[in-house]
Amino acid sequence: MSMAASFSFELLKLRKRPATWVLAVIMVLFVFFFDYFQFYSAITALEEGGQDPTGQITDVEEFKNYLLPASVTVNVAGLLSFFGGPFALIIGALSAGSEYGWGTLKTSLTQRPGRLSILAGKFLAVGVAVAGLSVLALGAGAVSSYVVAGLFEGPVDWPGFGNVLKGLGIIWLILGAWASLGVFLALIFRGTALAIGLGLIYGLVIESLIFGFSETSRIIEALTYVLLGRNGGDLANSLGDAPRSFTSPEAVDPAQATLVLAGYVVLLLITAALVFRRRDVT
Amino acid sequence: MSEDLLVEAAGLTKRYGSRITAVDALDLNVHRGEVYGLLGPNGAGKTTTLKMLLGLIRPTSGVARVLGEEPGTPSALARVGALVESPAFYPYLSGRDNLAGMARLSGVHASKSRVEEALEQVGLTSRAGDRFKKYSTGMKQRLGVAAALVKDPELLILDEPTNGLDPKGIAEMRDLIRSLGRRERTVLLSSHMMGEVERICDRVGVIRSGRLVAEGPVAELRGQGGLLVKAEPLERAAEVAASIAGVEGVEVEDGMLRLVVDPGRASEIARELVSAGVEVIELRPAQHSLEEAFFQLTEEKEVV
Repeated sequence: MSMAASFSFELLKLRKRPATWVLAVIMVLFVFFFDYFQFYSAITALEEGGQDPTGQITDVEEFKNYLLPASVTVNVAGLLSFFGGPFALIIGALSAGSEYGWGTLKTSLTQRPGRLSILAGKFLAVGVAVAGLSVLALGAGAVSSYVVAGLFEGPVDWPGFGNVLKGLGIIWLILGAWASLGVFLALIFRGTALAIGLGLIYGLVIESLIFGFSETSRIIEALTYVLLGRNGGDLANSLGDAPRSFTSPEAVDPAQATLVLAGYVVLLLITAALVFRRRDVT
Repeated sequence: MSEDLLVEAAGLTKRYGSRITAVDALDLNVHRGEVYGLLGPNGAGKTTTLKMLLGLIRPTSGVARVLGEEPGTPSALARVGALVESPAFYPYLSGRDNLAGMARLSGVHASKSRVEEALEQVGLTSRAGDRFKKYSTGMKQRLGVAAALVKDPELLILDEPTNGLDPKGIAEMRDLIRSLGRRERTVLLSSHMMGEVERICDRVGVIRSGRLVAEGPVAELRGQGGLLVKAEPLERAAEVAASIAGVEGVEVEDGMLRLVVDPGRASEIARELVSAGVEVIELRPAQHSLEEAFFQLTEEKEVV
């Protein structure tokens, strides 16, 4: 009962928190502008004899297909495997870290539910929020692809139900792993600022650096197989034909990538619980 | 643990590293139905003690039982309402939403009606729909008390409940705490304000550098501060008084003598003074204020 109470209160907090909706709106705009609109503009420019400002389009027809409704799951999942991480990380970090900044953790802990119930409720609620973000992002992708199909006079063939479900699951898992990292860092550093800062440095800089140096050493190369970004990207690309990849051409097996991402969630949750259970709330 | 003891701590100690001892072998007993004040200067260890009793901080050593349970366990917290340090709530939620959430966490049945009752109790009903960040300090403090009351607890633990309030707010909060104490609810509060403790509490524990240096009813703590004597001539009276066996000190204070002596010897002192040719105009027991007692016990003057 305590965990259910904690879960429902956490959901209310996330739902009523302006930052959640700001992040959701930015994410939708991100899908629209930095994915569909950007590539639509680039393809149009190339077709009119201009330059490709993205520098990613090697085959115009392939990229055109990538923007059509049939490819919406692989497209949106691919984008979010790289750019969605920071959004999820921020949601996770805000959810756990703000409790320290506002001092609300001690108010909640002195009510009744017990530390593990509070933590479990928080993880579950962040999981639900991230699921909502996944649906929203895929929905934004679907609307965008429909518009692009109209502009290109391309076919409006939607992916099958199974592919949509799988796509949602993959986006959810990718974002869930990043959100777990956010919650974990916020609990470790007892606040949002350092958690978000370090999380973003890890996601946007450190993983890229490791990936960049992977050819110089076997150890570093082996390390790339457990990176959040690589596993998320390769799992996303398993949804269909992807002309772009944020990772290596040598893809991680989808089953292995799923296990690695799920492993992150479980490991971060357990470690967070161990730390949170014993730590003084000063 | 006795049925009568709601809070029992023995040798409670909290150390941070090897150099800082926030609470040092503290023994504390709070009885059912009393309003107990933990009095001490800032940094004396009051908040740390309360946090240990609520399970927010783990003691380095020593034991504590709250309502017969280990501090911080859900079964103990279900019967304890607490306000620790400043009232902390979610700024973007309304007072009512914050309170409803806390009621839900407390496992309160019929939480909606309990929330409204608690809001009514602290006089916040009309502003309950406003967001917490719009509240004044006094309203925030009252919401904190409402959150402590929402589960109708047997024991209330309030840390500096009048902190940051204006004089009107302080008076209202005192009345509220007194009325809560009258309803057979036990209250354990901390404060560095003597007046507050003197007016509200039945029993006081004085804490200094993490140690409980005195404990007892307010009247007992104030103690009997000797005798006040108004006499003519004053200088002669002081000489005679100082020569009487058992008088440990003589001070001139506002045209009177303050004798450090057992007040039970008043008639004997009067006789000695009169027989020495001193005219005794007035002689009465001198009572310390709690403030004086507190200064004596803590040997610090900066506390107001």
